[in-house]
Amino acid sequence: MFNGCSNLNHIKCMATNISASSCTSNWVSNVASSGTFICDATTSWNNGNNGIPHGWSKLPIIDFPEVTVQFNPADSLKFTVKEDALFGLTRKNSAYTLYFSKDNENWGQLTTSGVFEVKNDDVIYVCGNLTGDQSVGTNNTNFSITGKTTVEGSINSLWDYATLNDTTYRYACYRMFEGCSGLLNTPSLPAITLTEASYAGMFKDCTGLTTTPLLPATSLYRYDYVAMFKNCTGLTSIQDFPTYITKSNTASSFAGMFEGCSGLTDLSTLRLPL
Amino acid sequence: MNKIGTLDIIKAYLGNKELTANNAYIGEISLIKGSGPEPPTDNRLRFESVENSTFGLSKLASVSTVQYSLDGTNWNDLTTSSTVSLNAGETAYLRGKITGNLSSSDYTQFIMTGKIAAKGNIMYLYDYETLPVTITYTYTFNYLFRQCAALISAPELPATTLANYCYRYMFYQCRGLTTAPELPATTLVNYCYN
Repeated sequence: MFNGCSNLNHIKCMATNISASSCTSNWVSNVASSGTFICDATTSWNNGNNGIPHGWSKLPIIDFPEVTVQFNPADSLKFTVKEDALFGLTRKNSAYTLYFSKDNENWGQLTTSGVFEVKNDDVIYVCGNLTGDQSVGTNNTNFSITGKTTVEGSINSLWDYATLNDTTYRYACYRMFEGCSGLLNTPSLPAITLTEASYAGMFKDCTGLTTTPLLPATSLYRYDYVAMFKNCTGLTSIQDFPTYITKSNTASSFAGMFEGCSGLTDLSTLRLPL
Repeated sequence: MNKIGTLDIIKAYLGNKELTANNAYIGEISLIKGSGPEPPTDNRLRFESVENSTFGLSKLASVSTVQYSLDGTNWNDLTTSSTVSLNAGETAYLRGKITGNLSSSDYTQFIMTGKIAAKGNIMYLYDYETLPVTITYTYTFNYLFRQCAALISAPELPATTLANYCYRYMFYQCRGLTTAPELPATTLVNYCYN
């Protein structure tokens, strides 16, 4: 069916019974080398040309997390859905405990990666705790947001929803919203002290973003902003950095931060701390 | 089919409301004048041209008819000798009917140049009057867009019940596609996505 569609990188197939003879025989031969395969959580797909293409991420559709705990976080990320979409996690690192809620009070814990269907005007709250390092590659937490969605709140609410303290763990938001093309703005990033690669690749390929958040951190570490907004082609403006950075391995902190941002045509007013 | 004088009417609308024997009768209604009936939905099958483009049929199955319209009102048969040219930004609507099983050698296939985004419901080619969600004929859309490199988005495939071979090689080597249409059918049948 899609054999030879060499640029195809997204399939949503809701089949639950795939036992018929050759029903998907070679259906995804020679598609793109990476992509997303959204499917029913109960269906057992094989990897390969007859199933989920090699190199693609499997993203099962799951139920909204069951409410298991009640608390009032100091802050949370409030996502407001602007069109019917899928929302959830493509990957989840075990160092993150993440809670989802529809009312900011009754919370369910997401224990595995997966997405759930959301409707226009839905509101979803997310908060959590981070208790260890993430790392480079795919051993990190990555949201999936397929439709237009806005977000409010502090990213620190994913690190410690009770105190909102800056995290001391490395790669804390590495690739966190990568590929979320529906994301229309960013959460606030209020941390003053960063550790290694805190925001690296955080909004890579978020083509719905039009501007960047304030970045008040004055104590940087290596890789912090690497590829942070890479390929954000919707960006038309960016905000200045603090003029005074006390600690910085700047040679590597900013590499490729705006690479591929074709909408940024005038950087003459950008004030970089270098 | 209803008949008024010498004018054959397949469907009639009052605004967006379809007129039937149960809600209207001649003598009590006035048909709205204009360029034609308003579409019942915005989900008609259509080709939207992103740049100057052409499309036609390289093959037409013996059990199929395909028509196109540049205004959504006036329809022309699309045959293997037709080539439709679209300027950038223009849209062509498509519809048709299939009346029996197709086969691996008796199928319909588009040919395209330029950049074309297909949108709307593919079932407008199956039976544009009823828009079923069940495909009963084998090989229905076999090869339909095969090697259409100009195709940059696929139409919707809303059928939930499929027939053997129905989507076989439908988008084969459509290198302009990045996103597959949603596939809502839960039970697959022999060779349906082959």
